[in-house]
Amino acid sequence: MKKVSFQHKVFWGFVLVALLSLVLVVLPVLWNISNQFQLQLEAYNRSQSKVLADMSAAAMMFDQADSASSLLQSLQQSPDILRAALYKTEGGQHRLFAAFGPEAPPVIDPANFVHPVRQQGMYRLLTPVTLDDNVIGYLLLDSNLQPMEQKLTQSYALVLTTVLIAIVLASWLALRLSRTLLQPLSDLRAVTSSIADTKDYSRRAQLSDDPELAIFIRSFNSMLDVIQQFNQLQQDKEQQILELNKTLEQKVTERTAQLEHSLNDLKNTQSALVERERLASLGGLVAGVAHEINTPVGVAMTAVTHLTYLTQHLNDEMQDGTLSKSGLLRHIAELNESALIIQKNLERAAEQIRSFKMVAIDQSTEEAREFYLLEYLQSIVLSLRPQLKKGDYQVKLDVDPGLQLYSFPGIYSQIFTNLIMNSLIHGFAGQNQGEIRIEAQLQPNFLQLNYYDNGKGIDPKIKPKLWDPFVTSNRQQGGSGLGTYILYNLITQALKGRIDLVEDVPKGVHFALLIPLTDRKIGVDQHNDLA
Amino acid sequence: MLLAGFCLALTGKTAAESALDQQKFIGVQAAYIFNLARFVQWPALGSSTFQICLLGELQQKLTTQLQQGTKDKTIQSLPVQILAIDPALLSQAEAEQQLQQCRVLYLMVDPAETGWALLAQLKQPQILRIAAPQVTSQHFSQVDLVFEQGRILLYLNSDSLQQSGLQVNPALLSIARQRTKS
Repeated sequence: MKKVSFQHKVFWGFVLVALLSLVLVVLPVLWNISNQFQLQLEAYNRSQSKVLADMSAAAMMFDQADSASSLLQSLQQSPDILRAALYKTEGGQHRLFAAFGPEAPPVIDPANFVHPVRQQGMYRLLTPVTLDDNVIGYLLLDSNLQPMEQKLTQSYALVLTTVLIAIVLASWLALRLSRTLLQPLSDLRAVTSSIADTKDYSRRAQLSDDPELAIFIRSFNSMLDVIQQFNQLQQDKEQQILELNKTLEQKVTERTAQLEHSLNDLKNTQSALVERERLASLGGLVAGVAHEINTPVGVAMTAVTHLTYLTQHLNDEMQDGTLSKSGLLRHIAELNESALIIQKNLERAAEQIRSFKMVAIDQSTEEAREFYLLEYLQSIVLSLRPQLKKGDYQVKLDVDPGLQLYSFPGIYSQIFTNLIMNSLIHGFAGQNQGEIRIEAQLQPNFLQLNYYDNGKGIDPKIKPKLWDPFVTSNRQQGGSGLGTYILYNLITQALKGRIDLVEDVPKGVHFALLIPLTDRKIGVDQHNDLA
Repeated sequence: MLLAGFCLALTGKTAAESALDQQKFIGVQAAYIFNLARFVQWPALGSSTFQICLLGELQQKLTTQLQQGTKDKTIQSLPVQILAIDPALLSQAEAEQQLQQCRVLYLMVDPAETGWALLAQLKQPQILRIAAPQVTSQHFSQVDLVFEQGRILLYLNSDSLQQSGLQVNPALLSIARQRTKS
């Protein structure tokens, strides 16, 4: 459907309103004209009939037919009258008394002639002739309706011509009016189109003389002001953005460099912290070793001192000649006992050194080798004995003695040292007894390890970030927060395994470890054979 | 119906004057007298009857005819009374007293012949004076019944009528012929 322009709508709106108004005015006028013509005709005919009837009364009463005819002949002055006839009523009969017109008057029956009759372009009226309220006859009057209809038609034509002229004038006025009214809008549209084409928001619409349109155009110009300001702001922003874009890459490079530097610093710091933690662990190990070795070495030293004393005393008695046989035998027995004590304690010290050496070397060298897991775990537990002795802390190992692995025992040492120390420091904090249980089961391609303690468990607040660095619940006591982080990295990165906190124990912790077996895995049977 | 009878009596009576017989002539006169009284617009009347006086009625035939014809009729809502006056039998004073009660005075004899000059001095001017066809004097009447072409025609004495102050129906004027003293 073709869209009609606003100007055409206004134009046709005016025309239709004018047309509607004219129709609303003209239709009643036409109806009124028609009605008035008929009413005038009826009134004229009625009055004329009444006058004629009254005037005919005397003629009829005095039987003056010629007078009545003369009276009717006066209707010649009325060209619309076709026929007139006077009927005299005598004895209930209606006798033609006088007539006017070219045609013979009809026979009438007043009883069947109540209302005026309009037929075939003729208006027929029957008027009683009365005298003292007595009907003495009737006057029949036939009028020609054609002149009235012609006048009516002429009136219609005149009115319709007037209407047509009015419509033409209304159309012309509507056209002028629509153009005049819409000229400011056209100007406004031109300004709008120009702005849309050129993006020149400095243009303004010209104010109209009409106050209301002036307000409208002023508002439009105000809107343009706002748009112009906004546009200027936008352009400024765009310019700033462009300038920013120019320096952004440089800034990104600078920021990236700064971030890389910070990241490197962070990595270095982290590495340093990890290394410090490892060294601290080694330090602890060394301290434990020193403590463990100190006892047998001390005993050996005491025995050696005693042995030296015995040797010197024996020598003195021999020099003095006071050495008896029984004395000699007693000295020899004491010497043997001292030597045995020395031997046993030194053997114990040597054994401990050997174990500590193995752990220490493993922790420092991180080289893969074959080892028996139970034996190694026992060495770790032995190295932690000083800590374990601070309370009634038990470590139970549920590991097949023949379970041999080819892996990095130092990493295992760090893992379990870490786990046990965490249990001692955090899990058993505030309690002087606890139990740690380590289970190991060999699965196809995996070593499954379960670590339990019956301590107080892990603070729920740090569970979600348990493996994150620098997360600790014991920072006040010097905790670095790197223990679990190192643990996690050792398992996931060095051993390519995984560790999960399994919340299936009512108290304490349960860590489940799955560590893939390397190619040089040695099974239980082989270890047993070697053993 | 008296009037119908009068009219029927006139029907077919357009022949010569001589053709009218006396009885029919009396009927026509009675009809004319009564109807002419109806075509006058009477002023307010102070009497209880509407009196029609017949001056010169000797045989009482017209009186009887009128009395019969107007027995159930009224004029101006008043019953009609017929009074025959014979000037020869009344003194002038008696006649004058009777004439004062008349509304319609039908002159059947010429007053001049009877020496009734008093008619000219009647104190009651609003009397419709109708002259019979046989009355030749035209000095006392306002309406004259005249035989012409075999029928009775009406003549109005405009001056006399105007002097009397009576208003007649225009319909009557339309059929009556005008007569002036000049």
